[in-house]
Amino acid sequence: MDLSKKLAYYKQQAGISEEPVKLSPSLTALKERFNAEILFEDAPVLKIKKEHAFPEYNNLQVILKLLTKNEFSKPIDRSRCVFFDLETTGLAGGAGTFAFLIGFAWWDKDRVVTKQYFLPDYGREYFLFSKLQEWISSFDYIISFNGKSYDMPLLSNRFILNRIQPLFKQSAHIDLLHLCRRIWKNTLDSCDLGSIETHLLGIERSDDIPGAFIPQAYFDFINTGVIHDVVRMIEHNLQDIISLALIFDKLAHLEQEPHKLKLETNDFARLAKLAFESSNFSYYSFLENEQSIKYSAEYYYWKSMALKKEKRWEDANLLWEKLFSNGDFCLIAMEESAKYYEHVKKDYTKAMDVVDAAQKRFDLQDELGYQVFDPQWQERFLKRKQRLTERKLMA
Amino acid sequence: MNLAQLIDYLSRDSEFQANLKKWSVIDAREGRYAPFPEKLDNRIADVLIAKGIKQLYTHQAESFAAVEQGKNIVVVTPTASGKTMTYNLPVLNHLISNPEARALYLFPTKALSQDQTNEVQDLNDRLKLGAKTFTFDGDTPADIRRTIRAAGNIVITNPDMLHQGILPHHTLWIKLFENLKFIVLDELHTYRGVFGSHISNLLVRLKRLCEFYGSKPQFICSSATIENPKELAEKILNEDVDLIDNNGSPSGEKHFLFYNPPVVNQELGLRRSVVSEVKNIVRKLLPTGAQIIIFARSRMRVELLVTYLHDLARELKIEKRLIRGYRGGYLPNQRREIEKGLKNGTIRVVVSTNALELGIDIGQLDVAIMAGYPGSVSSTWQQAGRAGRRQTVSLTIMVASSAPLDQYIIEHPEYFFGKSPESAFIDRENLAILMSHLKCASFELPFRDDENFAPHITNQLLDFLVDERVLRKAENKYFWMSEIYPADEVSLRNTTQENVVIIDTSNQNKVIGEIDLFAAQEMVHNDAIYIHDSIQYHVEKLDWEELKAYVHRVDSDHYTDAITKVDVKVLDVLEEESNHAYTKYFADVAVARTTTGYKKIKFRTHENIGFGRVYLPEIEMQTNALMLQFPDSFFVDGYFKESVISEGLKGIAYTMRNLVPLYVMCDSADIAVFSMVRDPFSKLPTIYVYDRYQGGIGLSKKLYKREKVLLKAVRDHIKDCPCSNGCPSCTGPTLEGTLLSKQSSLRILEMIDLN
Repeated sequence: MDLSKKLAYYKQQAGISEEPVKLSPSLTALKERFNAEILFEDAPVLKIKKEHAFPEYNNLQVILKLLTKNEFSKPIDRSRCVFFDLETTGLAGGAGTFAFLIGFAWWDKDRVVTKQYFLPDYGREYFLFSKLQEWISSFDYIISFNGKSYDMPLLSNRFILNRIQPLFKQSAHIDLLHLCRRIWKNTLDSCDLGSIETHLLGIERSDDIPGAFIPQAYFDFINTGVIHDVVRMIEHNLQDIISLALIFDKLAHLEQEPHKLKLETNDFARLAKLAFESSNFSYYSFLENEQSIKYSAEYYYWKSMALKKEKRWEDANLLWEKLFSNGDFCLIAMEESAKYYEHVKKDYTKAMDVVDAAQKRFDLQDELGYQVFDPQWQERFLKRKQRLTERKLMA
Repeated sequence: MNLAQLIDYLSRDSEFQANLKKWSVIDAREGRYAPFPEKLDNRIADVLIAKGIKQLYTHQAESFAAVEQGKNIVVVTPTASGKTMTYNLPVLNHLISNPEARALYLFPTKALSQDQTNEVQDLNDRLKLGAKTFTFDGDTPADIRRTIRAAGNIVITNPDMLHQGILPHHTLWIKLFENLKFIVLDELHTYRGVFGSHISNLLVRLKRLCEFYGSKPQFICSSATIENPKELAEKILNEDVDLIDNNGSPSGEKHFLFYNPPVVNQELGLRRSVVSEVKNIVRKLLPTGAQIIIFARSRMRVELLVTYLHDLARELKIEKRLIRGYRGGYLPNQRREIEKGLKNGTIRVVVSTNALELGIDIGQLDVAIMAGYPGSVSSTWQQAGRAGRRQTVSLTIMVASSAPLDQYIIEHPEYFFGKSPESAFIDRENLAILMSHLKCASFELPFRDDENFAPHITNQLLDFLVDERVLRKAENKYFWMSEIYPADEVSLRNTTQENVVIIDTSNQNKVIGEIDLFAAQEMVHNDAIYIHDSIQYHVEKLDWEELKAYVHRVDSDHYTDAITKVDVKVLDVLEEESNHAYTKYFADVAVARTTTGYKKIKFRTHENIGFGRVYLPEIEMQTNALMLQFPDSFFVDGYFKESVISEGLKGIAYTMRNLVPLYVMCDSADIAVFSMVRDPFSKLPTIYVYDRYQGGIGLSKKLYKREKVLLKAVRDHIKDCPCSNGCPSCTGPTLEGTLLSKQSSLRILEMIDLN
């Protein structure tokens, strides 16, 4: 008898089963720790459900018309949204990446309800997914943070590998990362969930497990059964999904009461750009109702372009003239103003005055002896000047 | 003077004739045709007729019929025989009635795949089917990728992209996998050796995913002429494959000339350089107005030839832009422009690496010149195939260099013309390669414990990976349990990922190359003279920790020859056989190599002018080896002092290594041959031949079965070499005081009965 056979015989004698114990002591410990439920006897999965009251968050309807550039133009009923976030075994993605912790949250009146599923081992997705498939689709909106490029493809991946149709892929999906970037890309050092959370909700996490450690922490749990890091991961994920629900609520203020958000000068410029892009012209006066705000040149630039779009030429030109003295926007404003005089007003003399003013800038630059403006500007103005000279002659 | 007249003139040019070793004429061949198959949709037939094609070549019709019957096929055809139709016709014919169907076209390189898109696209556009054809490679923009995944009927890609970009993300490609009907593998003969072994494993992964999505694709392969296309295809695909080699395309009369440049130094076996000889030949050919392609073995050689030919152009008052180079490293636009220039005749001479040997469409030219033997019979015919219009006469000239393999071929033209091309083979069971793909496959889809990836050993390997904590076994399946994205760790073009990069400090720290660890010790140790693209570099430092070698350009009068200590430990003898002269073994071995020092050797005189020490760690490799062990009784003659035996075996080993590519399709760098006058275990004189790849790649296994043929070629080659005491073209560079190499090698070989 060779050794492997001997060992097998020995195991049998000692009553050691080949099959791993499915309801392991670690899982029982986690169940007690979180006061959780165990689903599916054959392939146990931990389910943790909790409720959290947030009475001060009370935007039952959230308007994201501006922020989604009209993709979602109707007010969104916040109770029809499900927020989700995954913890996975790798950040690279691809078919072999496994989501072992799936967290959902939704608003029920003034409370955030959370439901987290922890998979204590591989091969236990099937029953859970069959259950979740329709439940997720029962919401009208799926909301994530970076889910468009990461969590959503990964989750549908897992469904397909289990031969279950990822029906929820058809639902409307709002990725809060994209929305937040549109406002805070230049103001915050990073637009990751942690930074947005701190900035917008004032939350500072303590003892949070860093995302990069999570895959290895899960493998360690599988190999050793030690639950310490699993507890931290579950808490981390819980904070993530609650934050999503809260950030979503906060974003409602943008189109209702922007002063309630901690917005800075730069942020207003981003909003002005969004308003221009989504042709939401009334938004400027709405913003300017608030007296205490200081607007930047960029803000006025976008506003002027919105006015131009609306063909409110005079108002736009007033803003351009105001921008002539600004270092960053003078040339672009001068060009717009020159265009206005040349093409709209057909006043070539005035247009020429603007072009000459621009020329002064270039002369000044030459005097200074170093490059301030992109050389193509000078060329553009030169061409305009030639054309204007001809037109003046013709006229 | 036209080409026919020139050929006539050359046959009477006595100076040219003196260097000619063989003039072979291959008769013109009539085309053989077949009517359009009944099952071919009328719309396709109409499009073909509109393009001026009224019937098919016999091999095209046969391919169509076999594919219609659901068979896998491999079509073996020479260059310019209408190969693309063998797969485009059945694929488009199927798409006409099944608009949801998908086909995957795999080309060995990115350049080839882009070339093919136009061709299919043209037929496709004429058919107005709305079937979509896309190239998917590293340059494909992200938004188009989405369209390709969802709607690409024909996806054209390369193996590397399939390996890293498609299979690991298969869930994004559901439409492709669910509806995959055909897989086209073009240039199948390039999938040999290490690369082929990777491809074979890659296809097992692909088929596994097809099974998961419920499709069973059919394979259509094409290959250049090799000895065993059917065997190779069946090995790679692991399925039955029908061979179609009934080539029906016509060709004109072909003249094939073997040209050996005259010896300029008898002692050193040096001949006039290939480059200047090619220049002289082109000088004779240019006035005929013939279009010429010149194949050179390295990129550097290409550039050198172009420079020489531009000088010639100036002499002959021809515009420089009529003579162009073509090689990897040129920008795609530039290459397209050259291809077009060749097709429409505006370029007269192109000098290329083997990049133009594969199926890139440049039309047919009049003359092919090989500046040096291309390395295999198969490649030679491929390159020769570039010359030859369907109606007119064409000319191929092979100009030999001083390298042993070139000299063997040129001196034995009967070997070349008599022999079928080399056989290509792969080794699906190379453990290192198999393991990497098993990991990738596990990442893509968990293995069931009753599933087979490699016959007999799948479970054992998976359990090993479980012990390594790369996989997790649960619910009778093996799950990927690692953060690593395994496809990133495996390159299809190499077995080991670890390489030393070579950095040129005299040129802004530019990386000039990469070599594997084994070669690095010998070629870029501290103070080595490293020759790259014919430029000499001095190695300042080999940083073994960081795997970087720092070099700078020098103009040195000597080169370095590394002294490498090799230990071979036999792990397991798998086969053995004795004859009167030696016992041969085929064995699993562990080879440990360390470079311990180097000799400085003067160019031209080969004087040994110095010695240095090198301190590097030992590297070990497990591989397969063929060993030839001579009993002491074999060397009874008093002539055979120990030093004489040593010289003789060394000479044999040197020649053997260079001639191996005659018998198996490989590069001489894929194999190592060395000898020991006292093997550490048996204490007997031994020659070792081993595969220079972790796990072995089947080369020495193949040689175990035909070592006598090889030894015979070695003997004939040494005997026929015109040098007196051995030279780089036969038994190796002769050093001072070692003048016995040639003589001793020959005496040993002559004592062996090689019939």
